[in-house]
Amino acid sequence: MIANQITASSADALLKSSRQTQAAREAKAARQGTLVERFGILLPCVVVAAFGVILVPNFLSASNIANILVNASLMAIIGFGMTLVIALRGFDLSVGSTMALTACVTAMMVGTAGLWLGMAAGIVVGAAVGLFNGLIIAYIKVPAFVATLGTMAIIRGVALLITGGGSILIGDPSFGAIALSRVFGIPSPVIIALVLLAVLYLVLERTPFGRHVCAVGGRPEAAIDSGIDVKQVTLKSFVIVGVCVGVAGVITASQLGFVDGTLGMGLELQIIAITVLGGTSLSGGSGNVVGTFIAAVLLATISSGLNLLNIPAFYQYLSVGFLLLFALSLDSLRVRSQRRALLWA
Amino acid sequence: MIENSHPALQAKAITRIYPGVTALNGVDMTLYPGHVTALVGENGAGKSTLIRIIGGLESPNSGSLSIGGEQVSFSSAHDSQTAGISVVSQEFRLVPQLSVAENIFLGHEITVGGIINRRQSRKRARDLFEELGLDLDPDRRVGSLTVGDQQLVEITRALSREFTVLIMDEPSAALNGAELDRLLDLVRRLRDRGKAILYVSHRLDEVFAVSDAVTVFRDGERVAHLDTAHTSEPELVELMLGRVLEERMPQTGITNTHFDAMPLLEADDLACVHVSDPINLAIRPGEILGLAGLVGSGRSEVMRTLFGVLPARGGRVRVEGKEIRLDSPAKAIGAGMFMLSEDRKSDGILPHLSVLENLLISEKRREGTGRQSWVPVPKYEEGTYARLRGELRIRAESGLQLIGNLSGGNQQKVLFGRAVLSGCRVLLLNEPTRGVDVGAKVEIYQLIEKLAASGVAVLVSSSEAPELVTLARRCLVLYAGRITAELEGNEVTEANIVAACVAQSAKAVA
Amino acid sequence: MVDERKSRTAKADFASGSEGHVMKDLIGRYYLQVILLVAVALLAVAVPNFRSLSNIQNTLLQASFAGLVACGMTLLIAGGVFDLSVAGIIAVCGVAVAEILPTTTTGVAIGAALLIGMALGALNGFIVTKIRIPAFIATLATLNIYLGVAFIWTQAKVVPIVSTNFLELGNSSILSIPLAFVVFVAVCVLSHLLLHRTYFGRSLRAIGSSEQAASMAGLPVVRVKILTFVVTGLFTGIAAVALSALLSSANGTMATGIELNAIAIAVVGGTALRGGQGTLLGTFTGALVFAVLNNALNLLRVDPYWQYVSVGLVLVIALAIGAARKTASVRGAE
Repeated sequence: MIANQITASSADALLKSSRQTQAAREAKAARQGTLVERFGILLPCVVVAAFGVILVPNFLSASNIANILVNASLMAIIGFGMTLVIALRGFDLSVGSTMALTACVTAMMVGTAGLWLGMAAGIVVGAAVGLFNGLIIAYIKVPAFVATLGTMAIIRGVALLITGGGSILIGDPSFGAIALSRVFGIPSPVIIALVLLAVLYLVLERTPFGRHVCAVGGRPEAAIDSGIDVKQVTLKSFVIVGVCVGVAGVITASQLGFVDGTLGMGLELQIIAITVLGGTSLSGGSGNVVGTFIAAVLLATISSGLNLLNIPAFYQYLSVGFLLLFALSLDSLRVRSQRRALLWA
Repeated sequence: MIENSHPALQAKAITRIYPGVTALNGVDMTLYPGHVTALVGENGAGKSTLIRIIGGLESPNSGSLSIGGEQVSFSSAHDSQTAGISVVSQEFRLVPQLSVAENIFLGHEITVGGIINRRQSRKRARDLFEELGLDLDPDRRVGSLTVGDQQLVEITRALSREFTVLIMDEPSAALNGAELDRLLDLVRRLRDRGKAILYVSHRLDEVFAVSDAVTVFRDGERVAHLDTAHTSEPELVELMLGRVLEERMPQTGITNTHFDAMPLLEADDLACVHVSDPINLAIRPGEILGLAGLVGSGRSEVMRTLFGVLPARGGRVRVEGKEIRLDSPAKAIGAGMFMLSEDRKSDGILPHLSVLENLLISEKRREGTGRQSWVPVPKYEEGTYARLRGELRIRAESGLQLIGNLSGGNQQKVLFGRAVLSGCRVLLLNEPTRGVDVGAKVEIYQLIEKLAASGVAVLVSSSEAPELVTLARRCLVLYAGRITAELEGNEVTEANIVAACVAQSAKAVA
Repeated sequence: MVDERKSRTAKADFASGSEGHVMKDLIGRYYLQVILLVAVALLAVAVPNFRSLSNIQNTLLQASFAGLVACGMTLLIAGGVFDLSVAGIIAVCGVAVAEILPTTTTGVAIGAALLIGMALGALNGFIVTKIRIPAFIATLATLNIYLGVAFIWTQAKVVPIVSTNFLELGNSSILSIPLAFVVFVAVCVLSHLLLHRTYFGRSLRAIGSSEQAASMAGLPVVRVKILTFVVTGLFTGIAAVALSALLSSANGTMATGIELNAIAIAVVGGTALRGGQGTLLGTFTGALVFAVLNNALNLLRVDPYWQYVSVGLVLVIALAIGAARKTASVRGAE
């Protein structure tokens, strides 16, 4: 028995109406999702700031705000590079060690070869580490997180070796002035961070390279099919994060005046935290550099607040850890609900 | 046949061999400018392989490819695109996180001084949409589009490049009537502009609507190349299916169905994702029910919903009269079902485990079988393995070798053994002989019939009509998410199944 | 369809296996053990202090801490997950022992530490399976949380252990072999049996091999994963007890960086990162290899910071070799 001889038109009508309802549902979900994704981080930021103002004396003082912004900028600079790498669906655990290395190299070179060469050296070292990571990950195909776990140890060792485990004092006062200088009253590190924010936003959202990064992270088969050289894109992304770390290392060296090989221990977690908190999904395909900056401000605010309340620094292990878990849970929920929405077609 | 003297693309004697299977055996294909050639054939006939070769994703073992008279050899998709070939793939090559415009121009972005020119991209995208008669938003994230719209973006992407040859692989799978008409219209316009088009489709009505010539593939060979005007649907169907296949089993065991017994599996108004009709079915002990349909018909979704892999949107499923909650495969197995998925590489075999472990992994824990609760007893397990290896005629060097070393047919038999050992009363089979050689195919059919004879209710879902004719006394046919036929007894013929799969009216009983 | 071709060639390969093949095969499979024996032999000859009883005991002891953690890590990797929080678990368990000891017996203190380790492991497992966060990043977060707990508990101070009962037990030896090492060997054997001789281990390997297929086969994926994290927590707790006995103290940074050592040991030992298999013999050997390496660097008066470099370098090289081999084999299979 042949049942239900379906005429073409009745099948069409059904398909079309179901598709329309689904399209409307998806468009709504997409709009909501994008809003939360892009600006969700502002809410906790405002809340924390409010707490800070209420609980902490001198919270709104000019020097404290400047402090917060400078600390945030240092994290954000590295975070921009990390955002790119995570959009690529990669990972870089070596940023903390690399920052120590670049700071130490810069300190040493400034003393011997002068200001500009010293700074250039730091950035070059960062780029070199990024190149090394990129080669192992893109060409030898070692999974990113465990590859950078290994290089994290290697670079930390190198940093400790070249400093002999001790600290290096930077004698050149003009170098120290760099981090402390201001442009129109805004500390230079903040300016640098904002400039890098603009540059990396442009690169990620408006250049073919940035779109290719998202393609490789979002759907590698589509990238290959479009003729994108996945290995090159991966390599370049890791070099970029290396350069970012180099810049951060130079500024840190300038700021502190003396550096040693133990700088930046545990930094990688903070950077990953601000990247994920800022709305960049671990599943790749998109990156939110503005969110990374805001999340950096959030973390710096929390840290500053805790400091001013005389709460010992190690409480921040808890705060960063919980914040990261929270952000990861949100990310996981969002990905799963998106997947479920696509099923109901 | 109107043929120009200068073919746009010429493939000669293309052969492609995978381990154990010859996908293409010396096929020729010539595409002329201003000409639409349709390519039809069953699953596994070699169409996708040829497209992958022309698209640069694979290289043939032998044979030659020329574009515009010059011989070429592609080592990547990029090479093929540079040579002027554009492919609309069956699996979308779209990045969900990027916008429509960004996806269309991915890899050949419109830039000004290194920065993507969004305005130009939007304009160019809108121009392309106008040609297609589409109304899409270039800035919308592709991930938020319906499957149908994504297919349209995929097509637009192929058209955004400069090309002389356009290959469309099942471009209409997710399109409805009006969109389909526009698509066929577009194909005609492109042809009139002098493009050479290869149109691959299961849907014969489209073939007749738009093509100038039809090529038929079967089992990796080109069996016919005809003028569309001089052939007919029945002729094409016959060519696709071929003469009676020698491997087809004589129908046996018709009387195993216990017609009076309570059904072992029942689905009441089961609403599955991507399937617009609610599914109602009942399978009795010893009965083999067939489920036919093309890719995208919803066949796979029904199976996966029954087994708890996909969530059901409504309706009930009962096993042995008891309603079960379709939360997960583990629950389904606990209720007495088991499923062999169509993709045994990702859903079936455990590649790092041995043949023996793969066989025994789902074994039902029964009292008094010598099976302890914590620790497998090697002697007992080896005994079980030896017994099943004999019964299923699994060809393996040893039970301890990795399952990846076995041929496809033997792997499938191991999975069968896994199902048997699970003690299931209901067996769901999705493409049970995909990637299996002829000899093992026959043996697997015998296994299925033996299982049914022992009282198991079997649901076989397949895209191979002969397989269903061999096994099933009853067959449901799905097309685009709707049930188009319920065949019983004498009605279960290849012709009827294939016809219903492509939503044509029923032919007279063969 | 030419399917017989495949099995025929396989048989042909088998038949051509000559004596030379067997030998090469053996060395290929046990290359790490061979390297270890050769290295030990060379060092015993070249470096006089290496042979002394105290040095051997010291090396074995050093191998035990990271080795215990690596046993758990091996199980996790076989199941397709990781645990980067082990340094935090050790910190919390070690501090727990130190803080609880003054008030109760040795047995209770040790028991409490082990229970805490299992609880923290269960928390890791829960976060990974129920909240569905990738294991390595989830445990990176819990690492910080556990470290935070340890630091707050001790207010960043070092907590001394004075209980002679506990210290005697912790630093005792059996037939001149440190107790910690004996326990390590026992845990290795136990882990091996668990992974290869129980249904649980089979399920774990199946999940690591193909979680999708394991789910389709009806295996209890969530339960197995959480239990594996719990087992890792237990082994890590044992390491914490042993370490705090050696240091006669506990604090938040007592095991910094041990996750790197544990992963390096497992990977170098031969447990592939992509899951589905694990070798405890490899882990045991790997732990000894790294301990001997560090010991040699110490004896040769090499800058201690080279240890960081060497562990990282060995890990990266082992990963590179593993990745290169995998790419080659996949290509061959095509």
